[in-house]
Amino acid sequence: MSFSSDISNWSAKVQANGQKVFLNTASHAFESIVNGSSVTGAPGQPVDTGALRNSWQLTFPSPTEALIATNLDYAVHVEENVRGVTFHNHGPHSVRLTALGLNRIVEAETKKVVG
Amino acid sequence: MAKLDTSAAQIALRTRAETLVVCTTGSTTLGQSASGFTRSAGSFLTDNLRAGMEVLPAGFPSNSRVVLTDVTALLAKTRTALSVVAESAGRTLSVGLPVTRNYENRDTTIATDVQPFIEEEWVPRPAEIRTMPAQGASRSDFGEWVVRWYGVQGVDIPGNRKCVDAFLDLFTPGTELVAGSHILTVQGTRPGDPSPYASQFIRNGNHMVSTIHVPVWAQTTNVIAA
Repeated sequence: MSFSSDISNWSAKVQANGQKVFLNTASHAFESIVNGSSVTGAPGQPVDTGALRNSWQLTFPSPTEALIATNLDYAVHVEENVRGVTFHNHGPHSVRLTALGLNRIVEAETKKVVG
Repeated sequence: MAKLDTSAAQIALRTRAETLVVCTTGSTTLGQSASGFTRSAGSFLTDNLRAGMEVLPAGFPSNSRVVLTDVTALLAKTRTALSVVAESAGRTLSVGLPVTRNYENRDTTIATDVQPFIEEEWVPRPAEIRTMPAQGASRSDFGEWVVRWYGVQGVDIPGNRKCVDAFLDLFTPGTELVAGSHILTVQGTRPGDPSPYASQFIRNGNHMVSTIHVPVWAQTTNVIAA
């Protein structure tokens, strides 16, 4: 075992941990938007027929990008809680609250990975 | 100093919003024709008046708020007909926060499509403890004030957009407000920090709505009840 191989192993471990944190952060953000999260305070998507909740998707356009999106045009009205939208469960602003709480998500997921 | 008094926070934010001045002619010589406000010198456009704005007249025989439907340099057309009034000095037209304010959980009658109005809500966010032990710890309390600005449809968008931009100018990052025994600070003072913003205007019923988000925080103390 040499110093350079130690550094190499450490570097590989850091890289692997970084990737884990990234993937877990993306998953946590997705869960926060769709189902809510006590870390961000997001209430999650309201459910009537389930169409909105089920429309959200998490994809990875590249190894360093995560995309959380919906193709339903009324999602923005629910997100912004504009007139005409009613909530029987969950609530509005989940995307915004998730964005506001992203640092907390990263912190929580980093602790899980590196202790 | 225990946790943030969120009702005091909400009222402090409202109070600041109510000071909004989007634009004004200042005290000048103005009159009225049947179709709107008139002037012989100066320019309503230079004063930043635009169609869709709700103006508050001052110094006229009647000073009811009216909505502008078209603006040129010398004529600011109104949605409702006005009485003819000769031009006179010492009059002002100003635009501020819409007079119809549907504050959270109040039962306010909203006009169908003839005037702008706002709605607001306080959106809670989880607090964070900053020190240990928990009893007496320093903590940060967070929230977000959300205001929806409903502008009238059928007019060019700058009138609505100028109002929202001026609103955001009241809540730039680092703005401090007194909320009960705490100082409420508008977020966005550090690089990467979320800061206030206003959404795109989208159609909603007979209005165009932009949602304004103002994230705030306050330094408080964690108190564990005995």
